Amino acid sequence: MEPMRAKYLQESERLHQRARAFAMAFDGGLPPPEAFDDLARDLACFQYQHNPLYQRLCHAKGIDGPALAQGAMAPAVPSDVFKWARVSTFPEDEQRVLFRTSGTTLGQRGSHGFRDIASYDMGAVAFGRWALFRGQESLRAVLVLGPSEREVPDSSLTHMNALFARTFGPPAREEETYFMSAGTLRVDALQRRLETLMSSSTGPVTMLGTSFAYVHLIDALAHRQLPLPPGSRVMQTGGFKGKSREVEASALRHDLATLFAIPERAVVSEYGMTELSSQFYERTAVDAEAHWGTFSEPPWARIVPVDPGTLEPVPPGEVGIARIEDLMNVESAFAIVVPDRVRRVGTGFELLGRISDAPPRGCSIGIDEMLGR
Amino acid sequence: MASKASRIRELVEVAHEIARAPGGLVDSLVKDTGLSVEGVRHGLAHHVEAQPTETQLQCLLDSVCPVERVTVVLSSNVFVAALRAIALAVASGKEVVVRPSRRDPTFATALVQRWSCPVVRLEPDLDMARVSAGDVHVYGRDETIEDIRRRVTTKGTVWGHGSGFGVAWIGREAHLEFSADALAQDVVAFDQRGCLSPRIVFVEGAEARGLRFLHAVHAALARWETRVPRGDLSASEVQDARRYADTLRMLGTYEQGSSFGVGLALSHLPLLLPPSGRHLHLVAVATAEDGAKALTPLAKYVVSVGLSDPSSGTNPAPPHARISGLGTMQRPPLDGPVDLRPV
Repeated sequence: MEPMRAKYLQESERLHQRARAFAMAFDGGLPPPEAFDDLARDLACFQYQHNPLYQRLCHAKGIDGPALAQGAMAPAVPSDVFKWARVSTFPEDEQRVLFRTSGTTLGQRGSHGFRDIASYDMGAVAFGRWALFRGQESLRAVLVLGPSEREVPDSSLTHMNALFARTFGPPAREEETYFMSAGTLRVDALQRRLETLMSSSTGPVTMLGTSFAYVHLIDALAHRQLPLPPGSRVMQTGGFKGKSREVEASALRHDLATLFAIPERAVVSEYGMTELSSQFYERTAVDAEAHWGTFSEPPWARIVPVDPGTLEPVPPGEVGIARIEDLMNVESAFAIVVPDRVRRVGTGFELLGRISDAPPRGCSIGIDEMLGR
Repeated sequence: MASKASRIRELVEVAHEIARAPGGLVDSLVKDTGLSVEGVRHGLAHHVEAQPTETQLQCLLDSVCPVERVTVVLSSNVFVAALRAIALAVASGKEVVVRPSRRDPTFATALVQRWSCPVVRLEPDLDMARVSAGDVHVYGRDETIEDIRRRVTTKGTVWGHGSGFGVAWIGREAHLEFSADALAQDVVAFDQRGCLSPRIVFVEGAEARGLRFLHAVHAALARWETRVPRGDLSASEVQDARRYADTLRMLGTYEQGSSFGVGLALSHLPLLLPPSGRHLHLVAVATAEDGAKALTPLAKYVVSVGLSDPSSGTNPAPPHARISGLGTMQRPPLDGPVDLRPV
């Protein structure tokens, strides 16, 4: 192997190990192994050195990458860039895993490639264990209202669901775990599976799915119930952009609690995206004091509300758009910015949707209008 | 009884009277549109449709179907667009009801009130569910058009004039500075918020030529911004401008002005649509065919094309795009709807 390549692999592996150390410490109930900002700064410098596109952004903003003193100074990559180009520090032929966003009407799908998926997996499991699976040692099953990874191998959500099913659930066949195939819900199969689980033993289940899939399930059942065993939890994620219906978050939570005959606190929202390695959760299932709508961050990721025009952090308590810093994004973009409005609340953050001022003036078509058609 | 043709000529004359002496309307238009005072005055001075020639007027009359009644629903549009919308309605219907945009009613209201045509009336609070007869002409976003289509009970046709954008073509022989200045005029008009406003520019030639044109159009927009300052941007427009700027900083070249931005993308990338509010996305292409291929995913949204040489037969825009020379993209003749896309 040529020396430059060997040096790169050595450097990236060191950074991966440092990122994973955060997840291992968290899993072990220990404080983070180092300051967030120390690793953040080193990741930003690494990405500056090895990603020419990121270098261009830094230079355009007058930032000399190696001189970055703090991760907070690292320019954030607009999430849109993932639609148009590879955001990677490594060559495409070394890519082992590729996640893609769902397509827009223009057919443009964003992508996020990984040379090494282990950091992603470790972080997802550690934080998922804390937010979703804590106290569920006698878990009877992980049920996914979505496709299998075999059917949809390029979805980060599908990957995460499969990871959780393998890690937290007892062994089960694919058809006992995944209840969507070829885009269609397997409602009868889900009902039969739950009947079997309820009749054969005690113990909770955890169900994972997108908000939109749950809405379809509710519709398919014509508002009948599908009770889950006591202690069960439901994770829901995703919104309704471009879909035929929208259901408000608290209404959906209530509907899911009714559908599955579980307390509303057992319905947990997840916030994640293809462009990230980490996820964020409401923690109502594991913290009796927690509020709905407030998301928790793992120690290796943080949300900074920033001004949409300048990208400077907004004053505490004010609403900005989300600058997301993710230490697990070792070989892509440590900091990204997305057009989701957020506000810090206590030790967490609220998600407030997209900027929704008055409809645009004029008949010149808007970007999001075009992408959403 | 006045003929439709003579009514349309009267309407245009009234519009020009308003444009020549707008008085207090300027402040209302600034408030409605978000344009600067200079932007409003520029729109009135240069972008109210001229009296059509006989041929153009006949084209306009031929572009509509005669019906008993037309209800026109205006959007918060480039404000002068109300003139063409009402002219088309008058060309079509024996009776016309105008519902101005709630956000942008000033020009349409002034036009109808000053004209006092016996067959045209204003109904600002018209409940669309009560429209039970005649055709409906709707201007606005697709969602608005669909919403109105669902609500009206008329058996007549609902004609939707939706949103779109313009492209520009800078041919190989074009003088870059002259073309840049002409293009800047098209951008500055209404702060690029019209469906005719150019947002994507194809420059025939290598990337180096694209870069020269980027510098030329940056300089032209800088000159124009002192004459016609840009108005306010909404919060989402500010965000979209920053998103586009940073995306182009990574994927090409981006030059920021005080109130505008010009990007030149790396040639292998798919086409990006920049936000309105005086942003242009340049792409260097070897031929018009290459431009057309790049434009294919967006083709149905293209309403207009501005050419550095209008006599040239080739350009990358789809066949339905309204063709004009650079500098006149936002001054189409009054010969029918601006939007020639198939319905």
